[in-house]
Amino acid sequence: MTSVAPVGPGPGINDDAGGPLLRISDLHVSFHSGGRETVAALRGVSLDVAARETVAIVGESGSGKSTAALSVLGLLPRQRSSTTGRIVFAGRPLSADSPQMRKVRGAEVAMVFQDPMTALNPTLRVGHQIAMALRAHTDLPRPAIRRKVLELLTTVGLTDVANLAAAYPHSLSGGMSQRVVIALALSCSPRLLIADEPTTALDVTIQAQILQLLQQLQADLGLSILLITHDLGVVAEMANRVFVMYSGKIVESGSVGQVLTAPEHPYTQALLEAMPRLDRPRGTRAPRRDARSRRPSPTGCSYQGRCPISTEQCAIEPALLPVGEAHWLACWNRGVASDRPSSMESTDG
Amino acid sequence: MAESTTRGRPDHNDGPGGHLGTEPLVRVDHLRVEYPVNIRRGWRTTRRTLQAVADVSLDIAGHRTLGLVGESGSGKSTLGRAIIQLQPIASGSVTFDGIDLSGLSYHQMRAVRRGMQIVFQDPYSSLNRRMTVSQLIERPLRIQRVGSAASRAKRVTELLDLVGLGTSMAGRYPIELSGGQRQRVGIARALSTSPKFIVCDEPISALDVSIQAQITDLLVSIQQELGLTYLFIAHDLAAVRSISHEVAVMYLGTIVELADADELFRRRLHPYTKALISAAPIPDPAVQRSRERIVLTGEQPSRLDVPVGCVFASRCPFRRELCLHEPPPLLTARDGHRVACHFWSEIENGTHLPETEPQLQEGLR
Repeated sequence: MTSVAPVGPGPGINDDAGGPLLRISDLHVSFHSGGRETVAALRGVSLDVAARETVAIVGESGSGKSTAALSVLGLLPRQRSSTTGRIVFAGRPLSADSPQMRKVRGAEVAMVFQDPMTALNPTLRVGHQIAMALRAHTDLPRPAIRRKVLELLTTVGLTDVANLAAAYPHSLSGGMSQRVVIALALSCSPRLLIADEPTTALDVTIQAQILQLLQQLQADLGLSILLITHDLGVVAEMANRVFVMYSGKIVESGSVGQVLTAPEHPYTQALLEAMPRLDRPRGTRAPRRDARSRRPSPTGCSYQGRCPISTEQCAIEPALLPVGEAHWLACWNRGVASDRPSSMESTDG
Repeated sequence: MAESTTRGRPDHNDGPGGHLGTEPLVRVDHLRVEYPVNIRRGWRTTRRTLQAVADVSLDIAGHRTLGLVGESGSGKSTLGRAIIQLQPIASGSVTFDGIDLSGLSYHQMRAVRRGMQIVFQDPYSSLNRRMTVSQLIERPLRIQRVGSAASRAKRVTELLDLVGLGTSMAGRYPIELSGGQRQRVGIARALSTSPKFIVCDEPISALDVSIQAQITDLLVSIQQELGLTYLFIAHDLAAVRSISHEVAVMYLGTIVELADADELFRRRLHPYTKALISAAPIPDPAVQRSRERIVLTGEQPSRLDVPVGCVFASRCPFRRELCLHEPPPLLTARDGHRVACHFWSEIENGTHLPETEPQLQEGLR
């Protein structure tokens, strides 16, 4: 009971040969507005992405998953947030104000945002926007830039690219805009693509197209992808490993197979149970367990207010510890966590 | 029928009473909804009509839920709004509880409106932020001039309890509530006039998954308690299946398939339905990565240029010459299963293959 959760770099990290492409260690981010209140958005997040790997961060709104992505690129508002921790990309430390960041951001690490309609500048032609990125990061001559723009648009599966490059974003559909945003992200041959909910704003059939495109680009270009999403279906489709976030902390991580088919954390289990599934008969969703409190607890395990199996021990914050091969869990009641929910599941089919 | 004690009937009542039994609560007959649009080319502006809903006919039986799925721009929300007369209709008719809504005067319509309500998608923009929760819920009753102030206050308390919000919420403003709580307020407001029929227009799309499950469960329990009829509009197929008795699939303003919910997901017949279901990812890597997937090429065409033939022809992997000229009617394929496709039976028994093979991605298994 007296043991305090050890905090340090290490949990959840997968040490493969050659070291990871991106490593985030013990990242803390807090936002403050007007000086009165401080909100801890990330509370000691550590994760890594290996070369050619797709890693997903899942969680509900407010869990801090987008903050984690933005902090890698130093895109958090500097006056209103404070960041501590280490971000190492390809062996080099990255920080928001380092001169390195300008070289890396948009070139070696690129980002695809959620809403393609607002990610593009509405007053500039599509081709011009891609050319701007190329001019900023390369010293290609003008004709070569033009050729490269058309080539990029072709790479992302667009047709009639000459006309498209001259078009303004408003004339494109959501799916086409997202392809343009991906072309923009690919313009400087990044090694890591951070995709923050890349298909959330799109229809399912278009989502399928964009996910297929990302997989194909990863295979062709050897990209690593850090995928931020709330959709466990997208995770199942895309990712090798997954980090589950709740209230600014990673509560479970592991391979997609482990986490989605044998989840150990009550929160991961609740997320999966809440989803109606097309591959199972109707009415087999487990009955929802009413949360005693919907807000994350300020002390101890932040999930204890919603957790069906919490005990007094949960007043102390559990550390993220290994529970299997590359499977990490932050929960005191591990054995219980895997037994109890199955007995609570009903099959009122 | 629903226990609707305060529900008023319209002043005049033409047509049969349409009470119990075989008569559906809502009957939509050849409904067509159009929007005028201005298209500017340089200095010239041309006025065109965009057909949002093209010739839709369907029935919704009492105490049942009809799920309506389709992608953005398919006309599903417009259809829902047109049914409860929030959207003027170009032609066709809607019959609610035996009353043809098209011929009603303003005052008659107002009385009928008590019986049909709507829950909107976005709980952030659909609640007036200057009103408290109790004012919001009471509002429809005041507009309909139902009861005294005291009886309305009592009703608000009842409704708060029904949707799982405590009475302590009554004095709060929307900004103080979470998304799920706001949607509960939206549901309570829709229930205030004791309607028989509620259009749920993407009521869970803006919410987190765990909250989605809560709101879905709430809608189902209220339906059972009050005997309500729902039109449940959503783009999330799994959510639609979990709540609906019947499901209609819409594409480009047209219903392409309509069947019992289990039947539709077990034996989908229309190529669009097949693609839609196969595109919805399943949160299990082993299942998701090995199942057959159909990735459609292209996108839904503009509704200003609705194709002459089948609405889905431009993206259909099974397209033939006939599909480009002749729109397929929505016909009964088997009991309780209607489909609008020229070749559904040939596709089902495998004698009609896609023209462009690579679009079909066979799974590894």
